[in-house]
Amino acid sequence: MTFEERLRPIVVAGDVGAAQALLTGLDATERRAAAAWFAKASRWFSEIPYEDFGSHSDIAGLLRTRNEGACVVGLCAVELCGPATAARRIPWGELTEREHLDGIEALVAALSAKDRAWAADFVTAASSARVSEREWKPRIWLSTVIRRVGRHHGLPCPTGRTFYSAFLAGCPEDDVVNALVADPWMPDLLLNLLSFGECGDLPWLSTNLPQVVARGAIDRRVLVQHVLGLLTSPQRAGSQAVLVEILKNQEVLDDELPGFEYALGVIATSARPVYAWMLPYAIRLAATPDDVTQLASVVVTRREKAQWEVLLRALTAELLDRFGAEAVGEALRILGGTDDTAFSAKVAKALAAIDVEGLAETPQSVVLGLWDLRPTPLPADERPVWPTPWYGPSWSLVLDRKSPNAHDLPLMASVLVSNALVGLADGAKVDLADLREAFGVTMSFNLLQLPRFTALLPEFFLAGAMRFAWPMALDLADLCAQQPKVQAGLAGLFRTLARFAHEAPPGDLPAGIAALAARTGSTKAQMEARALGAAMSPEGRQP
Amino acid sequence: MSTYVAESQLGTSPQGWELDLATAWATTPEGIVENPEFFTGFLDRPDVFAAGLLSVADVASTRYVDASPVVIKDPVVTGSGDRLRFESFSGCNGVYARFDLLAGGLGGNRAAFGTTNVDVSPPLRMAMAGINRAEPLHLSVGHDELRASTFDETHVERKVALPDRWVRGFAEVPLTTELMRPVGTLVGPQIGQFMASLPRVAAPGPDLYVRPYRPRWLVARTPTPGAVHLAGATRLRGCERVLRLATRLDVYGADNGASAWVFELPSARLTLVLSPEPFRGFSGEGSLLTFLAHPEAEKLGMELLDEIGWESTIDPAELAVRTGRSDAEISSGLAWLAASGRLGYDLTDRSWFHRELPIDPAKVLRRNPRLADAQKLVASDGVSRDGASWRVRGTSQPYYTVSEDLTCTCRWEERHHGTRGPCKHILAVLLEREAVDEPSQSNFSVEVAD
Repeated sequence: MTFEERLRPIVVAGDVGAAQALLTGLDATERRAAAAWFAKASRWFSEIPYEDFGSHSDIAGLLRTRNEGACVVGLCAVELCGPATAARRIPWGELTEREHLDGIEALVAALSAKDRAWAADFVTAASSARVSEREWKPRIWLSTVIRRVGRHHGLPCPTGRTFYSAFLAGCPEDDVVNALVADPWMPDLLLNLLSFGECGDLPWLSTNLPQVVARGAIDRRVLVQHVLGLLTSPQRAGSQAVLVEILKNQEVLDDELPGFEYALGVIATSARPVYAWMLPYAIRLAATPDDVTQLASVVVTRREKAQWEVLLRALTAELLDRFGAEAVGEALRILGGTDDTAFSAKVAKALAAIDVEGLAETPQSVVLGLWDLRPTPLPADERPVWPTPWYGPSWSLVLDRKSPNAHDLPLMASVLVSNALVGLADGAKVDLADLREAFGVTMSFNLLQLPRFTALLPEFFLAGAMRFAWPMALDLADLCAQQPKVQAGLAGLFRTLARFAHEAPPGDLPAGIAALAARTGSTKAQMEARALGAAMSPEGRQP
Repeated sequence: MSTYVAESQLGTSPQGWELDLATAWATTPEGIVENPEFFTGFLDRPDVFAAGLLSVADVASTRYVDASPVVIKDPVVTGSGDRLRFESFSGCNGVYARFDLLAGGLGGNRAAFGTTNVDVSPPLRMAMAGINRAEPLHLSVGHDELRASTFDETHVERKVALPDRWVRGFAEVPLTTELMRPVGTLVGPQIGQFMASLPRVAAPGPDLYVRPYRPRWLVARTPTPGAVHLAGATRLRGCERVLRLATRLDVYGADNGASAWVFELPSARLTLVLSPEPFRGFSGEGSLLTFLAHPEAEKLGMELLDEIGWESTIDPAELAVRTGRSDAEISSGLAWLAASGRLGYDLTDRSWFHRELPIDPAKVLRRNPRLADAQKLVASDGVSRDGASWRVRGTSQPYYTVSEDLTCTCRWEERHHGTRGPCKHILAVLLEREAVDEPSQSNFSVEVAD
């Protein structure tokens, strides 16, 4: 009988003991023949039908037998292949069983019996073996085997990414802190884990690490420097949030940061939680007037208004004391270059308070002639298509802040804009009444997400439909302005309208907006309303 | 695959920072050289250099299609006498980044000529992130002393390989950028304000259309006349490190939807070229026609190769005078050299520059999967003459017709009209034509990748 013929009944029975007997009983010639066959039989196991492993009436038993069969194939790989090939040939993806497997014990025993160098090569290769990301259990078995073999041989910490997706699997300890503290692979284990950029999936990590540090499993300085280093390379936003939580919990001191330039780089490139955490450090680390200017130049490239306010407060207080009015004035002028009228007004006030040159005049807008364009839909084969048959696009869904499937809304909005442009271009539509109606309905139910409406306007204006969209937008903005409670996002709507006001014929502000602008006070909406009024007036435009 | 004999290091000395960038195998005027020295000297703006090189490294370590982690690839550096150019592609190959350190930034020193990889490891990134303007920086790109001091010590020699996809990208990007037209310019604080107006969302981000306008550029999701297509807006974030240093931004657009964003920095430039679609990288297929279709261009190109001599800006008129070739011949030869990965294109100078990758780019280009499919068609007698045109065996129908002017009747070609390079049927005809015309000197034998 060939090796395959002897192996097959053992595999389908999931008989680990028989497999061990078969493998140890091979003489040199049989072993060579078995190795030659096994090298070519990479799909042999996966092609065995499931029903060969048992009856479908006992599906749990069938799957358990198949899992043990996969371990038998793994034993063959360990006994017949080199370490790297063995790591690849073990059918990790088939190991879906949750409970104890005799085959895993046999596999660990076989690997433990190998010499240390062989086992080290195996662990290195297995730790980065390809295992489907959809299946969680195979990764747990893989990490379990690696951990037990690694501990047996006293191997260094594995470096492959696959191992770290279940890096604590096989730990005898009961909780994560105890597991990390007792782990012989610490601190490399933790440092590698953080380096793989997937720690966004482990939010519990940051809250547990202070205890791990306190119990001496990793040097605090090493951890802090490692995490600071990770912030210099691209990371997912979720991972950055975990990394910055780790740093917050370690209460990083100013002199632990690599310097002001480092802080600037991180502020420029990182997600909001990191930016918010780093900005106060950067303010404290600024050492020259040029640093202050550089900091303002970086902050103004980001939209987060809370951090604009943080820098503005620092500029009018501690930075003013440290660097004087001239340096702070230059930084303020950079910071005031934003199109947010209310914030620019605050900056102008701060400039006036320190008695330096104010903000530069905003250059006059150039008229593109959008008012005279005809609606220009995309060519038919380039228009966005709504892919879902279950429900159709509607303006109400786009504008409703409680719309389900929010991730579909950008495409839905594109489809609706495209359809509207087609209708306006061929005369089937004479206005945007359906959008206007949806606006009114969502507003009446207090469901209007105004920024979504605002985002639609440039699409119409730039696609030649300004003639239709501008009057509607002004009417609806006026409707919002008349509400007793200021609608969230109203300032943004006024700001967008002001940006395009030069393209429309000059005119007066609608009554509601004019009343809001004229009212005493300086809310954001009022200031943007005044800016809109100025932009719409004949004096506000270029001759 | 070549090897770094040491790791790049950033240290300090009484004179300031000392940055030693380790090099791998390099192509130089003297041929392939192991771990050569390209540059040594103090830089005028250490902060600009650090931000620029880190930007190129950022792009190399980002996969913009899904933000998943990637194995970091090392940038390619080209020394061109009066400048150093560092280039990379993103993990998805959809973004090309180039940092040019110009003559004014080299502190009066000159760079040697050649092209190689430089080691930019994570520890080096951390160290470089702290480089500031105040302290002088001594840069060595390939350093004798570094090698001497580390040869006898225990260190891990790190292998470096230039990915095939990068080589294909190097062959496609210059031809794409050469055809770009300037769309608009921003100066000073307007650059930061414009970048702040872009949505800050997960990669690759939305497709936007940017309309140059005064005082602020307009951004829409719908195409408008005169607007440049910003495909996958988040992919532009590779520039974030240098924004505060940028004095000018020039934007260029191509008809196929690709765009280039050139940030002018003190004595330096950062160029980002974005592919026409976020989920479509620079695959090299767009340059295949130029590479294969004109055997006479190959001869011209190889002839010009001896003349261009690692110049940082190639002057076609001067080449024409020197070689006695017509302007058209020079253009054709240069385009072939670009399609074979030997030239880059500088949008600001509006000129080609010489860059010889430390591998045989032609071999890689011939490993192109589409070309391999074409080779299979030829090998299985799937191409035959049909009067003035060619019949090529098809998949969804018995055969397709490829005309003499290289247009195909297949659905793929009908859909893309050549904007994604020639289809495999056209490539098969090119291969067959070459074999028929010059059976003894066929240049296009294909190596199928593993």
